[in-house]
Amino acid sequence: MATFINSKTIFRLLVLPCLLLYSSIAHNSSSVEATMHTNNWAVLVCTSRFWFNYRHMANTLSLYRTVKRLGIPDERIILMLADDMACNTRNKYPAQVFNNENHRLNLYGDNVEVDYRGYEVTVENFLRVLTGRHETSVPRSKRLLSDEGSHILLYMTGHGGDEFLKFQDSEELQSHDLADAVKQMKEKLRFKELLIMVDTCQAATLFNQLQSPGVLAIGSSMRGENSYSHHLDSDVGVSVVDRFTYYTLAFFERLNIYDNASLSSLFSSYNPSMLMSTAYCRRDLYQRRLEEVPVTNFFGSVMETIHTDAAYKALSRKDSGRFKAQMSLDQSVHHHERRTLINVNDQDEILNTKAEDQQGASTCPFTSFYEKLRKGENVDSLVNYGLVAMLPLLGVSSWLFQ
Amino acid sequence: MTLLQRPLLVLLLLVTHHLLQCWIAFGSVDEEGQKQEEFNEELLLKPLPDRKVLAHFHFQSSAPPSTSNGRHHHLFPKAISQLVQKFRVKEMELSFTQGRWNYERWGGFDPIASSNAKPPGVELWAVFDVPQHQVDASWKNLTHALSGLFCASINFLESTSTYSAPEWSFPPSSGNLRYGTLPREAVCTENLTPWLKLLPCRDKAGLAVLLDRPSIYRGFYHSQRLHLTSTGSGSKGTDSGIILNQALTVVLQPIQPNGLRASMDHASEKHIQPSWSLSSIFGKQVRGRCVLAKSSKVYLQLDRGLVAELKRIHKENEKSVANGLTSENFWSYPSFELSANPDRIVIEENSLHSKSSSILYNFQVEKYSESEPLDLGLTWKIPVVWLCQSAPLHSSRFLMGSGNERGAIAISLKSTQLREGFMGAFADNERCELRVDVFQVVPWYVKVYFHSLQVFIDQQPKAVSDVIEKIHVSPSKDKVSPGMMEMVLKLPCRVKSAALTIEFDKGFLHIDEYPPDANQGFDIPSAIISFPNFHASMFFLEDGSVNKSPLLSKFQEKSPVMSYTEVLLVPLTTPDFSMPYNVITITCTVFALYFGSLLNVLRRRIAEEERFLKDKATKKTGQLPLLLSKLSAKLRGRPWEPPHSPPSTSFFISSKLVFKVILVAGLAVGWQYYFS
Amino acid sequence: MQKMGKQKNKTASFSFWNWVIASIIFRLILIYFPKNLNLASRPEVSTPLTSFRRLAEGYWLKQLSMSPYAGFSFCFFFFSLCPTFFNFFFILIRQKKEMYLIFLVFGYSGSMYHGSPLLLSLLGPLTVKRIEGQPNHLLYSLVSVIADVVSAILIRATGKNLRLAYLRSLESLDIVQQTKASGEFFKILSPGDAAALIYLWNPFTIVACVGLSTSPIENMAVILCLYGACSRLVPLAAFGWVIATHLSLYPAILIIPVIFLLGCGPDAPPRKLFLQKNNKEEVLSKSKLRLGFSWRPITHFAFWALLWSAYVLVLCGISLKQFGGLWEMFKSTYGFILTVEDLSPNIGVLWYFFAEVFDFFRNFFLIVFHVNILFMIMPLAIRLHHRPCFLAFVYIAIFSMLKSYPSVGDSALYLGLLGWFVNELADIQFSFFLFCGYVGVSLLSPVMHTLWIWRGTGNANFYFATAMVYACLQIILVVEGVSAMLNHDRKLRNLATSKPQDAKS
Repeated sequence: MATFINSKTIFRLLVLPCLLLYSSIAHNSSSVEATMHTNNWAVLVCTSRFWFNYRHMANTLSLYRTVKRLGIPDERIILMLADDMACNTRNKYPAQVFNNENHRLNLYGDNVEVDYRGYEVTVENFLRVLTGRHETSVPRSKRLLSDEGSHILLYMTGHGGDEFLKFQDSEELQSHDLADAVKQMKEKLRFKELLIMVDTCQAATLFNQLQSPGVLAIGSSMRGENSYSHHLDSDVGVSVVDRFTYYTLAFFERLNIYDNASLSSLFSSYNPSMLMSTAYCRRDLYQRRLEEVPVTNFFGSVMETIHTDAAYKALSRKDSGRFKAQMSLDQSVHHHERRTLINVNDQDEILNTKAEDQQGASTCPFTSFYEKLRKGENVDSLVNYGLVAMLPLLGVSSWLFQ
Repeated sequence: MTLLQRPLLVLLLLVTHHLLQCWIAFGSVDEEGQKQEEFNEELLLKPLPDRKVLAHFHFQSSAPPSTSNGRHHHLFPKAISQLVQKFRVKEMELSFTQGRWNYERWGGFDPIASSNAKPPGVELWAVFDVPQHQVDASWKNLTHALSGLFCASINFLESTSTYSAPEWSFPPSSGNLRYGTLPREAVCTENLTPWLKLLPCRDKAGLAVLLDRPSIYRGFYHSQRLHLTSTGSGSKGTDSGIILNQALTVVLQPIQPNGLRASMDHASEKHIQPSWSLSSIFGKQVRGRCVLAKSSKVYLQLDRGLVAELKRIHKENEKSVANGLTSENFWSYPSFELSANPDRIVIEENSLHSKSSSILYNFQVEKYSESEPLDLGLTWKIPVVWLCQSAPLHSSRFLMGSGNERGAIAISLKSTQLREGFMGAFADNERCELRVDVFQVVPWYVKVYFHSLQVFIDQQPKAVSDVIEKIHVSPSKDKVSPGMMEMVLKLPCRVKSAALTIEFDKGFLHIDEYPPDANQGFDIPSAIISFPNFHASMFFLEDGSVNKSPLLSKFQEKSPVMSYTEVLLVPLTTPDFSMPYNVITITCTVFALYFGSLLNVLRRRIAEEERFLKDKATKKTGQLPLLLSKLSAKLRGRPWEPPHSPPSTSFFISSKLVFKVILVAGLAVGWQYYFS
Repeated sequence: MQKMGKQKNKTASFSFWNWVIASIIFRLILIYFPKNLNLASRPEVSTPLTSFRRLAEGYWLKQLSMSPYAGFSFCFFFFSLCPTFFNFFFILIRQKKEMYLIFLVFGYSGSMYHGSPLLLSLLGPLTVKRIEGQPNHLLYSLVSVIADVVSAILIRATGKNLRLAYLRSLESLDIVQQTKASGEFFKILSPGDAAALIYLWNPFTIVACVGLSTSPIENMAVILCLYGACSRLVPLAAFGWVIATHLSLYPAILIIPVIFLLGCGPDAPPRKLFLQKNNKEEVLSKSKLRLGFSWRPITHFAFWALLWSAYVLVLCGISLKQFGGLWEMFKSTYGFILTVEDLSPNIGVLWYFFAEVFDFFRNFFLIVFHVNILFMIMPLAIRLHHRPCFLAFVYIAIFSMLKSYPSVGDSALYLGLLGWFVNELADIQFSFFLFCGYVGVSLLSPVMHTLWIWRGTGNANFYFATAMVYACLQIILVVEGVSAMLNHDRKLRNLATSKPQDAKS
């Protein structure tokens, strides 16, 4: 009997942890699956410097304007511009950027908010933004603070090649780097769905290494193809927009925030003869069917409201929120700790210096002897005397020696 | 933002502001006794001698110290107060500037020129009230925060090689001062917008409505400043009171109406100054004040030179009215005409070193509204030519030398026409001296030889110790800290021109330290030349209104005359960016050559040496080895003895040769088979 | 080089001193050229360690009571009172004006002067002292001329020692007549004169001397060390070794040849030969050669070395007392040498390498390149232990080739020492090729430098290529020299062993 009870209890004891384990696993998996679309983020990167790349900045700014128009707030847009075209001295229209020769629309409106600009636009910073590894002092407006439920639009334009994208004409972003960054984001639950949109030459090759699920990638041109600019503005003096972006905008200009055009309609709107290159879409990593995914899923900020009866989903999101709060707290705490540490170090230093002084006083009697003689600068004379004294000493010693 | 919907917005904002204001009134009831947060907006317009117009916006918002931590800000921008509390900033100034202030034309002596003219790019200095060893940390955090706030890459100032800690030459001398500049930082809309968002009613109402981006950035000079001082200690729970001064200085070219331009070619009106109005220079008009502003004024300033000139002209014109020249009726005189009647006229008290005093026409924006907007304009009737009062010495800086190895920086000070004017003050004592402070920061890759400092006065080389009364240098350290030089010069008052030269070597950077456009060159930030015994300040009649207006009270405070020199562009030699791999591999090959060959020589032993010689002797068959041996013999300068190869060994050799050939062939076959 | 040496000592046969005086006059003429022909700013002459301008800068900072390594930065005022300090301060400011100093301490550490503080207090005053109507740095350049002459004389004396030892060893093996008969060593040149004249008239030496670099003094210290060791003046040797090591880190490895020199005399054929002959008949009695390795001088040397180094360190400590002390000095002299911080171009190969190498490999390559020098010490010491002077020559050549900031002064030193071994290295290979190579490189590299830096038409790679060629030439010289010396020993062995039959082997 006792043994039976014992065995029972033992059995219970065995079972309990298993159950707990299972439940926890189940909970985890469910929470992972059940993360619903919380917010939209956009990372818009113009990677090329110098005036003649005006069109790349125009591309990026037109995308910026579009996503703002479709409802993504400014604090959720990370805009990286590698050079300053608007107030460039060559710009005939100061503080204005146009993407069309009919200067109807000033892309550089009254409140554009550039987060990274000029020399800051480097591969390192770009990868830091994606993976969220910043110094503690980097402000929130420069961070991509997305969570596991957020949809991210990543738009890049510049000069590219086979599996790379040039940054500032001095360094390159390899397709491996991009894939690793995306994988890291996936591991860190930094996005639910990610749309990578690239407008460069041979853009499609940039996606070759991508593996993470939930990633959708559109490139302006296949391998071996160039993607061309659309038209040249004779007032500005350079070509102002690229074809791929131009037709993307043409598609979006027809929409407002409430239409639900699907991504597939966007992709089908690309006409190779107009683009002079074949737009490539990599959709094998993306689960949902593009027909029922609206473009506002990435380009706008439209929350679909799902009635959930389960409470813990909401809880899980709350947790995530709290987690963020804690993070920020941690940072402040970290500051504080650093300060205190610095304090400690400093005291140590002071102590050390004191110790050294005592040593200096104690170790060499020469110094203490010279102390008395020393007035201001005659250390020099002392040294010279010493050097002179060296010679007779040398002579005498060597004379004695032979 | 299209122009159509702006009035609607403004209306809406007005309503909201009314609501807000009465809410503030309620708020004022409960926190009795302690001062309210204030906001004042002012605009000063000033015609410049070279047919341009200076517009100087000045917004001041102040928050009194309050005991309650976690205060609610009614008007004061929350971001700034958080900044001050987090980083314990005692005083800070951040300026974004585009273009260069033209000290000869636009004057260098009045408060605007000496305290609002800034070096191009970004300039940031801050004073912290934290312990000495924490200053750098809080500076770093401050730069990051500001870069986030103002959409600029100010965070490049975090690295110790970009900022310096001036001791005494920089005006707000203090132990915890840090000073850094980014000469190449671009300034554009994205910097102005967050700056405007700090105002209570952003650019939707009040004077800020005038700030239309294209017209501002079309200007010749544009500088946007943010200066804050925190009074009281941020410690022990009480928030420190903060005074935030935002100033924006623009120099614009008025666009003349066509009619006038048509009449311009008429010979008599060649030199007539262009007439302008707010709408012609900004494309906007002032439609009422910002409702939250305590005071909202527009000033039109005629500076000293202009007033003197006008008086002279007037005297010439009408001998009859000898005395009747008073400021009250001055503006109605036929020389020029204002489109709106000034509410009051402020006259500067005659300062000691200038003939006449400048006049300010004051316009109260309260009186104007949506229906009749204030479109202040100035129409000249007669041609006027005058000069602005410039600093005692005009300073400029340039590079000397050619090539990319070394060069020299020269700072030249030329006396301006003003000198006779102010010499009157010093005429009495014989050996009067003019004190000049020079503050210069050079980046570390410009390696300055301080011992090569030379001073020339009126083209005569002078002893350094005669001229330089006090100097403080902190030499640069590679990749760690920039070089800094602070000097106090004592120049004789009669000096015509003075020059400082100092030599430098150009450093060589690591390949990663070059910016993407390395061939454009590197910037040496502009030096600061200040004249401590001259104060750029205007004195006004002690009058309530003057004290009430922050702009005028700023004009009244005594600040030394300062001027910035040009930014220098130093081309540095670049290595070859394209082939690091080649350099690495080739260098390593050379090292391997050294190592291997030396070891080989040391390793040889006699026996194998003999065998080796024999082999060489036997192998000497065929033409090429023969020639080689001859050549080597020549090189050694020894008679060349023909190699005598015994015939016995020849067969042996051939067999060996055959064996080798077969071996190689077998290897090749195996290789082929393995890889196919 | 070899040919040059031969010419020189052909001429030297009649008058050595005339040539010395002629070289002095030639230097003076060059010095009186305006601005020293801008040699002081040539990258070949003045490296960050030996540059004259940096020395002057350091002295200036020191006079302003800042650390010459700018450990602090101070603020000072000029006053025209306190005449008591007059006669002390008159060098201090270029004009006879007194000054009074106020300090504010600062946490900086500069990057201009990287030499020793003793040089600063010796040569510093000469950098600012002017004589009216004379070129600016006359005194300074006179000092370097004197240093050159002294080191030439020392080289000559050492050469005589070496020659005596050589003859003694030959006759102890009594193969003198064979060598004479073989015609190879018919005329035994006087290596001392050859070496001294090569050193004096080497264009590298002249350029380094006129270019106001500090390398003549460093070279003098090294030669002093070798001379002392050869003529068995232990304190002198220790002194030279300590000073040379103090001035430029690398001569530290000369301790090995010095120990061999003190332990078992100057260069001689390998000891086995004597031992073989000992079995045959008693050479040992009649030859004055000591074959054993005597430890007494070594201990003396150690003692004196300790003494001198303590002395030097104390002097440095005194002169740097208010500037952060010795640690500051070590950090910005030896530290600066070991971590190649300054990337400005010189005739070495490391500057461009470290300008281009990726940062995460930097430390690795630093270690590799410095260990490269150390690796070769042991094998050479084992193989050449019976020829310490030649060992010293090889060491000097190696580190002047691989050091972080090489200048032509270093090459001048080992090229001068090369003259000691005119007899032994008579049949060195590629001597003509080497000579042409040296001439070509020393003509080409300034051209490339001008094209790159001044004209802007060239590229960094051009200049670097000449540096490469130069390194390769030095490598060939070292390797061929070593092999020639080993062959020479071999030949001697053959002569000695095959004495009974005639020496035609």
